[in-house]
Amino acid sequence: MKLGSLLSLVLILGFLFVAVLRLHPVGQPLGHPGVMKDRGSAVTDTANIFTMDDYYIRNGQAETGSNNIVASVVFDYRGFDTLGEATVLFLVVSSISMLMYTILKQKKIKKDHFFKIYNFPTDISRIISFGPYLLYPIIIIFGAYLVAHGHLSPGGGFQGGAVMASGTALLLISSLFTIHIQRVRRVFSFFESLGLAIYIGLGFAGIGTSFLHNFLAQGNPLFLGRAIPFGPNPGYLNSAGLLPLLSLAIGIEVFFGISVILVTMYHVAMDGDIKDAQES
Amino acid sequence: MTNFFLYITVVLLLFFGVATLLFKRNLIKIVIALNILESGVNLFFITLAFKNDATAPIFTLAPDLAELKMVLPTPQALILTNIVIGFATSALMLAFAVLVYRNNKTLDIRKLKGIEIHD
Amino acid sequence: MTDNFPVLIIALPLLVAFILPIVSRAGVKPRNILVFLVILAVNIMLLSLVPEVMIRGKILYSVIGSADPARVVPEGLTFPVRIVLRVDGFSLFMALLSGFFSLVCFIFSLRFIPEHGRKNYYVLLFLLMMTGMLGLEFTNDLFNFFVFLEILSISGAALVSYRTDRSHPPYAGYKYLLVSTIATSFFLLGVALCYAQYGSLNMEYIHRFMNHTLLDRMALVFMLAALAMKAGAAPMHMWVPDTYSEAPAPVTAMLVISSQASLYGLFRICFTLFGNPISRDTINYHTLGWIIIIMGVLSMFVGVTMALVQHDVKRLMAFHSVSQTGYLLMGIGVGVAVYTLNDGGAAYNSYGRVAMAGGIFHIMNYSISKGLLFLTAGVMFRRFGTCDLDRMTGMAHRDTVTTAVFIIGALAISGIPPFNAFSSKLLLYESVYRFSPVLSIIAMFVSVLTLASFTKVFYSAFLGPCRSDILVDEEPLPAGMIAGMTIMAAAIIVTGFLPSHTLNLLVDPAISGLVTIF
Repeated sequence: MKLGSLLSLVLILGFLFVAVLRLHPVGQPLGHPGVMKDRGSAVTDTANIFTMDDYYIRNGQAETGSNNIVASVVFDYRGFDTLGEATVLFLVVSSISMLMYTILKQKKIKKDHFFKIYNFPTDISRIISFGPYLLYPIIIIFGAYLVAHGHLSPGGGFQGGAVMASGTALLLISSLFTIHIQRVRRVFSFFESLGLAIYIGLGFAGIGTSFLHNFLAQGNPLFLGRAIPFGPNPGYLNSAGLLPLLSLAIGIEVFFGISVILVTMYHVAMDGDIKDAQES
Repeated sequence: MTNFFLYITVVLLLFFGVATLLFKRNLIKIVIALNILESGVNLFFITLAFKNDATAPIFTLAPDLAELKMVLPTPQALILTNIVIGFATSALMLAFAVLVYRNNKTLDIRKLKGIEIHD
Repeated sequence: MTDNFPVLIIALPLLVAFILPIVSRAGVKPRNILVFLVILAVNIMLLSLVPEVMIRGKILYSVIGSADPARVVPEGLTFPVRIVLRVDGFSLFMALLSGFFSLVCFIFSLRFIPEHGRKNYYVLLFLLMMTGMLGLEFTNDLFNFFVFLEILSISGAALVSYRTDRSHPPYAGYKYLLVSTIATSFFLLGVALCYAQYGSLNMEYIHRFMNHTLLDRMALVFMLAALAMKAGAAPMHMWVPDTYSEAPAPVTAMLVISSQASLYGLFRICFTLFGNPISRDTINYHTLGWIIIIMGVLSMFVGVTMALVQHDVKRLMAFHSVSQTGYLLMGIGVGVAVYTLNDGGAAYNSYGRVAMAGGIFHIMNYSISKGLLFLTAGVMFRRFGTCDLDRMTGMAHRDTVTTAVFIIGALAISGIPPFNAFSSKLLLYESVYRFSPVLSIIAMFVSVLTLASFTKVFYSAFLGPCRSDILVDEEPLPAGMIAGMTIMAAAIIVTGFLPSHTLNLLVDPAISGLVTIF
């Protein structure tokens, strides 16, 4: 067994080395030299567009109206992949809820208070017990800023949602207020399903042309359809059509989904039946 | 050629991920090995996206370039998806590990080999 | 409206799945009715695509998110820039199978899984598993394929460990998810190598410009190994017995068809991505074919010999699954090995195409028979409370319907006329004999051992005295379970008595969708 593992490891290492030596140097345009040259090109506005990425960089801003090309690729050109990824997150949240269902039902819910600001427990240091009150609003605002400006600067639904979820993790670590677990989980799952339903509802809204069509992009500036001139600009919030709305839906889904995972695992691990597992 | 160390890092990450996977016995360490493996794949995508003397593909307050030299946006979108999928998979595997520990009081795959026959 | 069907088939179950947690609060009956209606709607939409794609041979393309969904390459460009869905004969063949399986297994699991708070999640994961399969089969984009493969794997792994009160299912789920994640990570590495060469992720575009360099061959190896690992071919078959035996019976049937979906991916990569024998330096199809054949023969042998010594009926059937996957790999491997233009396509047209027809037909026959057998194993588990063959006896006295469908399924999968696997195995034997006689003899020998193992199961579980002291559940079976099993048995009988019609309607368009050169 050990010999077979070592042999396969050496084989994989050699394989990867050979592959890496044959790749193009880092920083050069990618592609096999024979392929990228003689497959035809399209001449548009005095530039040759050879690959998909050239098209995204040149026409992405005009077609989708967003300054952030990565956001336009994530939400507009490859929006179906993003839908699949959001589905994976939703899937995992449901799976963890399913797996921990019987354990959570057996635990006694401490019918406790939500906020007891005045009773600082003495075995936790002051930073951990009071810090979250200072940090949590800042974290939430920062995450919401990332979500809202996804089409203008690096950010978007996933990044902002993950930052906001770290706020929930902070609250759980400080364990200052005991959360009534079942109620919070139910509210959070509802909002998570709501976020995803908004995403796919927006996808179906443009079904006259096609699924997930960015039908607000070149429209009314009041409905996020401001036309953007090509080149650098200071960034306008009411641009990019459907992208800020999709970003918002994903941000809601990611924040509440990851919070459900954190709250569920925290409650499974807390004051539990692990005490009677003495040996490993 | 000076950036070749990026490819070396990718190869090393993949190698260590697979090596940890094959030689470690704890369930949690196997999850960590999978994370290392996925980090290697993500780094590979990002290395493909890089271009010398290029800026981020964002037009807000961008420096005025004579020719539009920007890094490729597609691999960045791809690894965004991959990172979320990797996180989700690790979360689910850790939940499985919690249940396995509750039922069998051990996390060692050698000791868990004997529980093949169920009831 | 039919132009939107490929996207609707994937997007409609997703929409219902996202609102299902809210609908489940309204009660059990609304949830069941809603999910049943959605699966039925998906099947009707799939059937409505059959005249256009299968009979008239048209290939449907659908570009997601563009202003003109039917136009793959936008104006002024020479490459596609968005995600493209492609429905051709082979995709629709696999999608019809997936839809059929989802419907039958859902009807079966309505009463098989007892009502519990967890069952809401079961139905949700079931719906997402079906969506993952359908998305995988319709897409023409490599990264989209990866995403749907992940959806399929994760929902499968979660459903495998549905019975969390027992000690082994979570560990089986962990192992299945571990193998899936390793496989999909290496698949993504192959996709990255392809992207590094061609700058695009569209399968047809890469097919047109495929240069067969060393890096492309490495990408092929990574992708092939990953998908063979997901399909349960030897030597990567270790996860199959544990996973198939710990999952509830309808989930095992869905796992069977999801392994076939991984095989679909394998054949797509071999033919649609790399199948371009008209360029100058191409990969050696003979070697590639022989590698696939070796994997197939190994699976056949390992599967059936391990199946003979098992005491647990589900583990026996799972090892048997590995062996039948070997048949498929052998058939398609023969097709790949003669897929070359050196002799003007003579070998391919004479027996290579027949081998591929046998292989693809066998996908359908094997899946339906195996699914039926796993459902009967579920009935056995419900009756006796255990899956151990030594503790079962005398089921034929009480459950005549189950006995009849078990006989149909077992005879079908062993290749006995007049059932459907007889036709597909005959096609395989004849064409593989022309290629290499040794393989054909091995295949026939494995078939005999298959019959032997199922005779053993029949003798232990069904024949014998009827003892009521070992029975756990004595009530008659619910209508849903009986309906599910009889629908599958009816499908076996229909395709068995009309093999040429099935071949003309379903299998030939599948081959022409897959192999576009000859």
